[in-house]
Amino acid sequence: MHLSQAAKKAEIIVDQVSMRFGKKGHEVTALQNVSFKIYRNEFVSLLGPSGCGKSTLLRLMADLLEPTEGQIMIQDEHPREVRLRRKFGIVFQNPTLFEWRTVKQNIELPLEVLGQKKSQYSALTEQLIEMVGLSSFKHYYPWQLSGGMQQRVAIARALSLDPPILLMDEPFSALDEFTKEKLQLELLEIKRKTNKTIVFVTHSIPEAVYLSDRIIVLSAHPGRVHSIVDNVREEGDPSHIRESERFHEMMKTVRNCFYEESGFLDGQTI
Amino acid sequence: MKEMAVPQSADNIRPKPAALKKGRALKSKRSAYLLPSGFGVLFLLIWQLKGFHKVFHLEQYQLPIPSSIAVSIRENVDVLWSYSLYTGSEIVGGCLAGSLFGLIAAVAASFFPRTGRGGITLMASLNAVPIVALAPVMNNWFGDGVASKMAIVSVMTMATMAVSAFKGLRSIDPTSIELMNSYAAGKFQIFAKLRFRSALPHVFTALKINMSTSIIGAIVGEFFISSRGLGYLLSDQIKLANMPLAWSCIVIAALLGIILYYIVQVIERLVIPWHIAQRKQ
Ligand SMILES: Nc1ncnc2c1ncn2[C@@H]1O[C@H](COP(=O)(O)OP(=O)(O)OP(=O)(O)O)[C@@H](O)[C@H]1O
Ligand SMILES: [Mg+2]
Repeated sequence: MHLSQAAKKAEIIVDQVSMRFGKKGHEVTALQNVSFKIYRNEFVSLLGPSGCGKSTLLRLMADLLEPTEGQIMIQDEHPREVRLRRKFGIVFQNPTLFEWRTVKQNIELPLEVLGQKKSQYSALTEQLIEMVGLSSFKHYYPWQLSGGMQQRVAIARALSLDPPILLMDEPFSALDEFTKEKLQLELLEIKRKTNKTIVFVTHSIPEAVYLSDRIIVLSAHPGRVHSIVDNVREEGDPSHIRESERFHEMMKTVRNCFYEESGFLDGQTI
Repeated sequence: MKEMAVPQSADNIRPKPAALKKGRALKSKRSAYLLPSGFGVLFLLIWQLKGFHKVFHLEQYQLPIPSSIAVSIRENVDVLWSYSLYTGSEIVGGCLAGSLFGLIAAVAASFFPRTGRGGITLMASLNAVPIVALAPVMNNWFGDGVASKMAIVSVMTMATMAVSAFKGLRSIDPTSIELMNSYAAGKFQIFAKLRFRSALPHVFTALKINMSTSIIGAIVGEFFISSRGLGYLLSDQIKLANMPLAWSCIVIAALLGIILYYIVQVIERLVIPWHIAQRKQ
């Protein structure tokens, strides 16, 4: 496993990154000395309790924040270059839809910003709307949708530019179990078909184990890398992964990360 | 009829959104008009039967009854019509010019927020200038025609628009900005696709306030400097103690205000149907 990783190309390198918010004297350390690599075509989950800096880490990778210390390289470049060439799609924790745009228009927003012609992308948007199961709602405004439906629009929007890197911040945590499983399957399918590199923030252990190649477990206050777990995934039909022996073993391994160190969760002993 | 007794299917329980909207809209529309017009009729009836005269110890030469005002309007319909157009053009022209200028100032300030904020605060101080001080100056600058009243109205309205629109342009959901940045959108794209769109509700709020301010500005402006218009006629007829015609001017001015406000409201509904205040529920 490690041998093959060494042979793989590092897509994202997070090197000794620290992030502090606020004025001197009243600083909040969101991240401290965080280092890891994400390889090309890998599905990596960032797993950790609330407030451990998962969203902050994603924003740093997306060049929406600058690290206080350390640096991030994506495809051997500064994240800014990568952002300016629109190489990643991002799904925020909140759907962040524009209220004055319908479902369809929201999904078309990035394509519009790129200056593409409507005729070029209308087939693509239809396909994306279909994929997230909102065909009969495409002319609805965000306020007419449920929270889960809004998040599905945000996912379709992130896919519309077909970016090689997907940054997703708890995209499924607002969804019901049925839609969640459907979209998880869909995401694995997209991953298989398009070979995207996916960084996926979650606080659900089963979700991380189900989806990822590797799981980066973070601890809170300040946010640090606790451990990195190689998630050995079952080959074959992904719809049966959850029933496999391996899945439950991996769940146990990851869960143990949370228990082995006393005071892991916010200084509390469990 | 029998089908009605059958337990409702899932489809029946949840009506189609379109049908639902229509039903609710109709109901709310009816009650939205019925109640105010009922009060209006009652108010006119009490007035006509001299209820207010008794309560406030007024004579008819002080407060004419509705029927005599109506007669006066009919007798002077030509002059009232032409004066309404005259005053209306001052109101609309001044309001649009002032609001447009305020909007342009807000947009410019939003592109340079650091210096812009100070500029907007400075502009807000225009609201402190009293119209009585403004009228003679504008008369001196623009004469006693339409232009001087339009200028008064413009000065009275631009600050409200500038302050309100600037606030709208600056208070954008930060994640939405991040989203646009993640597409490497330019400053002008962020303005056109995000800032301006989400500031529109603020713009319309200011426009509605400005419409009311403009009526005051135009009419009071005419008190000081004019030989035409509803405000001129009103002050002139009060001096002549022709109260029915003076009250005709007041009624027409009020009607003008309602019509203009309604027009802005219709435009608002067309331009920002997505806004929370426009949603028909
Ligand atoms: N813009 C900001 N200004 C100040 N502090 C911030 C800011 N953004 C995040 N923080 C702080 O950084 C820490 C990590 O926040 P972050 O949103 O990254 O957590 P998270 O792991 O995504 O949590 P959750 O699972 O609840 O979304 C928190 O303590 C938060 O208060
Ligand atoms: Mg978060």
